[in-house]
Amino acid sequence: MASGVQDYYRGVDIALQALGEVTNRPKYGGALLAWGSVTVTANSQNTLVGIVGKGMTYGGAVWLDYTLPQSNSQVWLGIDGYTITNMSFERLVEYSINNPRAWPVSVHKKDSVNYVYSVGVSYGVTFETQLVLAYLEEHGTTPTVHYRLVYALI
Amino acid sequence: MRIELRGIIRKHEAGKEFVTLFVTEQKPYRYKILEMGVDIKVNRGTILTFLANEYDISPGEIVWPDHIEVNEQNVKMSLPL
Repeated sequence: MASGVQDYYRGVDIALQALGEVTNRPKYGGALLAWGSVTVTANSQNTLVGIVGKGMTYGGAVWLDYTLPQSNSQVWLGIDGYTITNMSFERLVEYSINNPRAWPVSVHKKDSVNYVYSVGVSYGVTFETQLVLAYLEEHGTTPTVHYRLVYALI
Repeated sequence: MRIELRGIIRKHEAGKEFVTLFVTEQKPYRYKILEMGVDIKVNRGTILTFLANEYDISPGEIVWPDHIEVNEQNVKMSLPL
């Protein structure tokens, strides 16, 4: 009985550069968008969106414009059950943590006069089982938080 | 047709929680988006039942990857404080 690989299968000699070119790309599915607006509960952690799966972020934004201060509130990003970033708008601005390549949630705007706040979510944050985007309200009020998250799943 | 679950998304919008499933059918990287429901309890059993009804197959025929983790009561979607 015949066995083994068929005759028309041949190995590739890498040393001889037998292949003219090789296409190398991540095997993620197409980009997806999660979006919405949540009127959060005061003094609580509020989940904005949760994703169960394996994948990667392409980017995102969380913002709110409000009539009361929210400087001490925080946008949280959790990966596989662990919180990986939970800094307040105030702290992000104080230390100019605004480089998306250096930190997964970076500040875009904190206007304490007009009460406009926003942060961005970095490209390339991978998750193996779960991603959670949440908002921790710290001023005892109930702002409406808007979010957009672009990601891909394997 | 090989149905494989690839993702579960729970998003909050206008005071409600929307649950969406991403599955693959014949093409492994073209996802089909299925709206599972609003403000519902989500666990492995309810997901398999939903997909089985959606595709008119038995729950045992649905492929559930190892990296998709849900607990028996509900999908935990919060972070440790």
